[in-house]
Amino acid sequence: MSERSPSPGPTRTVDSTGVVSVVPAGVGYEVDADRRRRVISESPAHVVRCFAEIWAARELLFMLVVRDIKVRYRATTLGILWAFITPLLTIIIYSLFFGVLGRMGTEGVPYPVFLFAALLIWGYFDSSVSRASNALISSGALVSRVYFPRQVLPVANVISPLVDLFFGLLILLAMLLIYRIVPGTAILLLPAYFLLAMAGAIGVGLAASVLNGLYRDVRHFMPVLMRLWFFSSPIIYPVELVPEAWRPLYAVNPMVTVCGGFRSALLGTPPPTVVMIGISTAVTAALLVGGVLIFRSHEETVTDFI
Amino acid sequence: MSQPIITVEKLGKSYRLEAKRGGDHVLASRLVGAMKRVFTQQRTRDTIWALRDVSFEVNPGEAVGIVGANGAGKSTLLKIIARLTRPTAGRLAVRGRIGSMLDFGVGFHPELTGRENVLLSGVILGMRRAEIRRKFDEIVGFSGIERFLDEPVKHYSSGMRMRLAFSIMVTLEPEILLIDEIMGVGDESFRQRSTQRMKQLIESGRTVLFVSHNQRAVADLCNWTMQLEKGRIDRMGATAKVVQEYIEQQVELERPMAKGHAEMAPNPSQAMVLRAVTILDEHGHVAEQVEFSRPFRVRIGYDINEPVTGVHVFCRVETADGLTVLGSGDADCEPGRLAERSPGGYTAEFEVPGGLLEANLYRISISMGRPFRKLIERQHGVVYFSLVDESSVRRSWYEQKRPGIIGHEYVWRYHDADPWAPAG
Repeated sequence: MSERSPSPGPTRTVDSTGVVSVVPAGVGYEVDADRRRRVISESPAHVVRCFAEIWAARELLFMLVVRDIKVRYRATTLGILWAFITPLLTIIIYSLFFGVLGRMGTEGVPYPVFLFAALLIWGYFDSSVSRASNALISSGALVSRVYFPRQVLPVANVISPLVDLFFGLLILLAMLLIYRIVPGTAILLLPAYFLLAMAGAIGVGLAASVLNGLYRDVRHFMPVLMRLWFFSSPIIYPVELVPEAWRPLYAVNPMVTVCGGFRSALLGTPPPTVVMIGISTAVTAALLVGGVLIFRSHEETVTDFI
Repeated sequence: MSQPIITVEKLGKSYRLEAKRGGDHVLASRLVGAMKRVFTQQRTRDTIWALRDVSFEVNPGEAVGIVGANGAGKSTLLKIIARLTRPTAGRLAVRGRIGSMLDFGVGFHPELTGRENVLLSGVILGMRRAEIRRKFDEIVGFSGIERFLDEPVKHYSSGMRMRLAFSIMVTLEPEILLIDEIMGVGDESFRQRSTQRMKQLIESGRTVLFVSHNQRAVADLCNWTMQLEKGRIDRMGATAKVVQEYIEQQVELERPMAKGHAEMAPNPSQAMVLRAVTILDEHGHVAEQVEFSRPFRVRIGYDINEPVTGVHVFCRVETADGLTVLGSGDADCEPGRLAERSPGGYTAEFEVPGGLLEANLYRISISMGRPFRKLIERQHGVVYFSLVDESSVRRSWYEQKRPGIIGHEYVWRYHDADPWAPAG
């Protein structure tokens, strides 16, 4: 699909009645039955094209994100307040169970802020992946009636939770003030950890969304996977809980570096080692590329199942 | 001549039958299926081809009609061209932006207002936001729902929703337009405006693929037409010819078409019974087809089984798709026929002058009874016959059927030396 653009330059046609129609250059596409088999052999081109198409459809992406955000808080009485209430309640509950009752080690930081520094970015990752995995199915009517680059749907669902992340950051700032914690220069690495989380979410979200269309089993499996992922990431417990020798293996889960990284950047706890960052980054890159390729090889077939 | 804007080569699309494959998209049954195939060497699968070996080319600016029965593959073809589903076989090349009007209100979100939905839906359909803003007033004006623009769409009536959706779609300006049977929207005035607008779009030089059951709409709008039959192209060519043959075929499917002459059984229990209808040419021969410039006669035979008063026999000449082109009763110019008539066999005929009707397939429908009081018998499509054009001058260079139903060779006068001379 649109692998090669069949018209190199604009085609200008004048028909018998003198009507002029100009077809712009590079517009159009070719489809053939064998395209799917070529996704792997032409994978670098597919990864580039996948994101080029998103860029070309950025207005659509923007509109979908805006729709998502508007719809989420419209028709609720408390509206945008929910963006504050949900994380606050979560902090209280988790702090009670794991901090007060569980006496979890916190690398010398008060438990609520220790928890929330990691929970914040995990929450973003979790809701991105969960929403993205349903993106194609829940827009089934749209997908089966009008063509647009399909990857826009899951990707929009990775962008719209940024609103909640933003409000979460406000809460976190307030907590830092309350606990009189001043982040050091490590905070400069915060965007890098965030990008790691976002890239991972896009990769997993793309794959999950298209597999969810083909096998509805994914819908049942995703919540379990995310819960497992939650407990295998240092959110309610510190990284120190895992013996040092095992940490490189531990970092195969990129959320280990992301959550640990967020904590170190904001609270000054020990940062992830270079080895861990390297491993996590490599795994994230693999997730991203793998997600794109899985998505590309099934995106045309999946519409028959939605 | 430039290259075709759409090239379709041996396109095919198969679906596996859901019942047979036992939910193939469920991983478990797929594994089981794979094992079965390994052990039983069974390779045959129950597939149906919704589309098979379809090849054609469309040149820029052409309007192409697609007709065919339900399930013939019309919508599948449009869906493949619109990239909504993947072909199982073959190749497709499209050289232009596509706008598809396959459905209404795609992308409308019930919680968003009409205004927000116009923006969203426009972007989904491929417009730039700046473009939508520029055309916003036009869109809203066309839809005629200005007052409700800031209400959530969930409070709209279905008619309002469709009008708004349609208004967005007709402002699209793609090079290629795919239209799937959407003329029946809204009230009469809106329908007329939308049909008008479709014609404008087609006449503005856009390439159009147009799926329709409404054959007259196809005949009006399309340069050429293809008929799909069980996923394959059955006929392809001049619209009038293909549509004509398609209509004939459909009539045949309903019941065998009596051509030129039909007889019915007697029925003594009914006061009046139609017995025979015959088409005769000017020489008095039974005719299935008549040259359109020559006169023909319709002869109606019927029985009267008990004394009746005030009855007539009324004959309609209709096109094969049901448009009445003329109607006449046997008492029209002889009121004496309305007097009491005794039982017996009767025959009446009337003549239609040559050159009155355009070449086409026609049918005869008969009703009998007391005008506006009591219907005794009515039969549609008793007999079919064709008027053909094999002798007119225009025929010598013009292959297609002329539009319209009035057939006549009109006399043109020429004043080429003095173009602005007053008539006469």
